[in-house]
Amino acid sequence: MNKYANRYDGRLLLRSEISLDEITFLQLRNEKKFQRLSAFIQKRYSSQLQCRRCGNNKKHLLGIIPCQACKQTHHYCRNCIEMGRVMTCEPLYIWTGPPAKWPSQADPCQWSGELTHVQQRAAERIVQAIQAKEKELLIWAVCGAGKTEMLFAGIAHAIQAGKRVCLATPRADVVRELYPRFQQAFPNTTLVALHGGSGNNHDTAQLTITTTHQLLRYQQAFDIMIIDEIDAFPFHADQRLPFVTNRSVKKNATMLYLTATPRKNLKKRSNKGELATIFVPVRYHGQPLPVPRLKMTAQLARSLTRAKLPTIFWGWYHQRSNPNRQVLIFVPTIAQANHLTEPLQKNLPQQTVTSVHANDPDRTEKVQQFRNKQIDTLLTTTILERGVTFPSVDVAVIDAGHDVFDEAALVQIAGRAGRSPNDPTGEVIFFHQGKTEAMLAAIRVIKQMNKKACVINREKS
Amino acid sequence: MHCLSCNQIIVPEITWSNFILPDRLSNCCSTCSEKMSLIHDPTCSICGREQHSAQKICSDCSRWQANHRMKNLILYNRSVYHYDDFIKSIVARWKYRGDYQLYQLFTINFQEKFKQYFPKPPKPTYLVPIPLSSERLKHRAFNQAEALAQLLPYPSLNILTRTEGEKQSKKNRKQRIMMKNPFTLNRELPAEAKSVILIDDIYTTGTTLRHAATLIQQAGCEQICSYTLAR
Ligand SMILES: [Zn+2]
Ligand SMILES: [Zn+2]
Repeated sequence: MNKYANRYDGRLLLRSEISLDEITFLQLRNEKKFQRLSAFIQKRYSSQLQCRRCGNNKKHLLGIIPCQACKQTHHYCRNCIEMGRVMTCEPLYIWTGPPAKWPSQADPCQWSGELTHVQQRAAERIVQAIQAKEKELLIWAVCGAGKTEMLFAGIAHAIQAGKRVCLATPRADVVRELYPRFQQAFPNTTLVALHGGSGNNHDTAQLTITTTHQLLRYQQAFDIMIIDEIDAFPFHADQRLPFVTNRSVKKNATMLYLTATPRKNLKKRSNKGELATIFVPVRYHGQPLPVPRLKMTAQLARSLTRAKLPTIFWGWYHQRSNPNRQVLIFVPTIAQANHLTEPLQKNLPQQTVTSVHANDPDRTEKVQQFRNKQIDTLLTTTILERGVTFPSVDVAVIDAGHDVFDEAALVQIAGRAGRSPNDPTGEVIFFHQGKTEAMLAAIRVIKQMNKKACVINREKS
Repeated sequence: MHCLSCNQIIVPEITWSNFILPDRLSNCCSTCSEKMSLIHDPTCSICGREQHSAQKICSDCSRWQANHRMKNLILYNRSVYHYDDFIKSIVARWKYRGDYQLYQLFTINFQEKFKQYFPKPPKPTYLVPIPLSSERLKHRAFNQAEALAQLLPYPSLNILTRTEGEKQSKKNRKQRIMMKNPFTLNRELPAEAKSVILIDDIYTTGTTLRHAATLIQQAGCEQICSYTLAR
């Protein structure tokens, strides 16, 4: 029975996602080990329906189908149809048999690296939160703090206690990157990595690394939920993802939020003391964050309409303190990334210049080439604002006053510079036609973090 | 209103025709509807594919015409859209993912083009949608060909049964043509039926439609055409 429990406990699945033959399934149903749940939830005192799996209640995403399987005309969910169609006659099932049991381990974590003083402080706070079953903890860690390693001690404690842990991130490439690192750190723990293209999305394990979307298939599964980049798209933009995340955890779960740039609501709760918060204001290499410089660029709009970078940009470009660094240039739109590439290449004939954006089919390769230093200068939209690490770059933002560059985006962008211990100080410059609150707030936050870092370092010595 | 394809909000343009007939309001934004590329004249006079050559019929159709059993079995086929990547993805979302309501993306064009291609069908004309096997129908919950037939102002006859469920897409042209007829007639054609238009989502090689047409012809109908969403 444990075999089934470990496979299905905490999952919310369509019949077609339960890979059991009909006889076994019916038997388990008769033994009340699977419970059938209606596909849609009808709120009391309201005619509004909500998809049980994804939380969608938007009318235009609730389709109506004259169903020939059940001969009724009924609803289906258009919102989560990519993951198999939920409809009135296609209900969901949860495991109601004995709970999953995981093999006990005395010492599950084999990671032998060393944490910095600041990381250690955060790691201990995380362990404490998990042991005391605290409801929530915000881990406000600057870009390049080394957050993965800080989690290991806490996760090890949870595994020892037979708990189930999930790390959810908005992006599939982060899942792919973290999987081998967790595999090495926890070699004897069942581990599964889930994202849209991962193919093994029906596996279940004690330790789950997943895109937020895949949480659609879970209900009351996890004791510990770590949400990476809680401020990032789509978690921030899609209100259904918090619904799904909250459903995927057990009642007394501990939620850990990881972010370098919390949005208003979390920040407010944190400042008011309603949300326990641990700051990690120092990068793992110990150097302060590069503070962005603002550069008023009066002829910016005119240059851009002529598909040129402004003269002031070139003034900065040629006087950089370390001309050997690669340059990452952020522009607001895909069109600008495309338009500016050719002229830029003409200006820098000795160099390899290219652009990248969200709809670029060669996106992954280009990022890899930039990392390998086969590309010297890369024009990019905000898609490279987070998640990617390059050892030695200077960063320029063109038209930093544009709406796409909100405070979080600018802090993340600035966080691309100075990531390597060998070159911890890249330059960050915002070219603009008038300061915006977002620019000022970004600089304020970065300076605050550097100040907090000084305080911690002083305490230590 | 939201575009069914890309979920963008559409600001509807109110014209006299959709003011009077609100269902004329499109559920498809202008960007997506531009991507759905219509087949324009000139076309192969038999299969309805767009072709810009001196020949009246395309090479595929001349092969069909060379076969005495198949010759003029289907008088002509007409299709609404080019079967390009965009339509392919819409059709895949519609029938494989099962997003039934996507039919509203092409309702208007499917109806308008029908009037243009079949201006005065003899009375009575019946539509015969290509069926799915019962197993697949149960799995998909709807038959895309039936959904298309329901958009047209003629009675639909479900007189064909699909007896096998083998995946056609895995076969090449020759294998498909050689295949034994996957359909059977499950009841008589109404005696007065002079003309039948077969309805399907895609015309690929034309084999499936000709298998169906063979049975309709044997049942006593002489004038058989076909109409599909894409070619
Ligand atoms: Zn849904
Ligand atoms: Zn049904």
